[in-house]
Amino acid sequence: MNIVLSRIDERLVHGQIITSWTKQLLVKRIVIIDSLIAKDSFMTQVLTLAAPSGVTVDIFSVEDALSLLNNETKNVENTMLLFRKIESVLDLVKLGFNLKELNVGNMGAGPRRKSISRNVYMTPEEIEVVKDLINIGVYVYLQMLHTDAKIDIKKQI
Amino acid sequence: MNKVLILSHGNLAKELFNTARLILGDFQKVTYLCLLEGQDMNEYESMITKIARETEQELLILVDMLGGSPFIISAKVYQALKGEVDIQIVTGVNLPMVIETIHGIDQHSVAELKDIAVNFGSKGVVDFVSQLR
Repeated sequence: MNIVLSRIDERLVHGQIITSWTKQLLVKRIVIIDSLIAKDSFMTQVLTLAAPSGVTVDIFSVEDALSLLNNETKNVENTMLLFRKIESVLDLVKLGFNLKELNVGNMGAGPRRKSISRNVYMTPEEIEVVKDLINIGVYVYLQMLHTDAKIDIKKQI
Repeated sequence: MNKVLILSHGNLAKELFNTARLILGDFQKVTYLCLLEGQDMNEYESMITKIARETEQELLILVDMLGGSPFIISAKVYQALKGEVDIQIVTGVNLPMVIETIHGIDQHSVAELKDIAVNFGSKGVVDFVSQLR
């Protein structure tokens, strides 16, 4: 598959994704990678229904996503990878997936989370995960909407 | 006691409510929540849950867009309160939908209001020029 965006977004499929990103990047498929939601049949139904017309949504655990990514290398369909948790990204990379770039979109405020940008808040543990990803060679950047500039997260943490 | 909740991104829900009031005058049993930038989503979910719990065990949620966060969170609340509150969710809220739903609010159950909302919400969308003879 042709991965046009890999993104952390706690809200998963939502307004910004269905209206801005999928249209700007001509996305045909959204792959949500989250082991918890992959097991939740109700949320799977909701998120599948939430897909904009002409876009399919699939939800996989980290392990299943890895085999999908490895097996569909010849598929040229424009695909967006969506993660709810930054830990899932690190898990996928540690299992051997070669991720080049990671967009950090929405991570809401919460206890122990400090502000990284207007829409991104992280706990100290999550910041460590970002640092691990950077050390592995992933370019991690902040960008909420397609029209916003990319900001290297290194400068913010 | 609320029976209808309007949800939207930004202030649309509030303005649909205010505009309906402009057209219909005063009405009861309807409330709204606006999802603003930076909103804590857990808190947003709690607010919807609270509104649903404080009804007479039935609530019609009119939400701006299929797939948006207000929709996703409404779906979560629907699932969490299943068996406790009869929640119905209709997407694509517009002014005709709001007005006709409010017209029927005293005579109809939420299950019936849902059909009114879908019916008038879609009937209000017309390609005018193509209808001309």
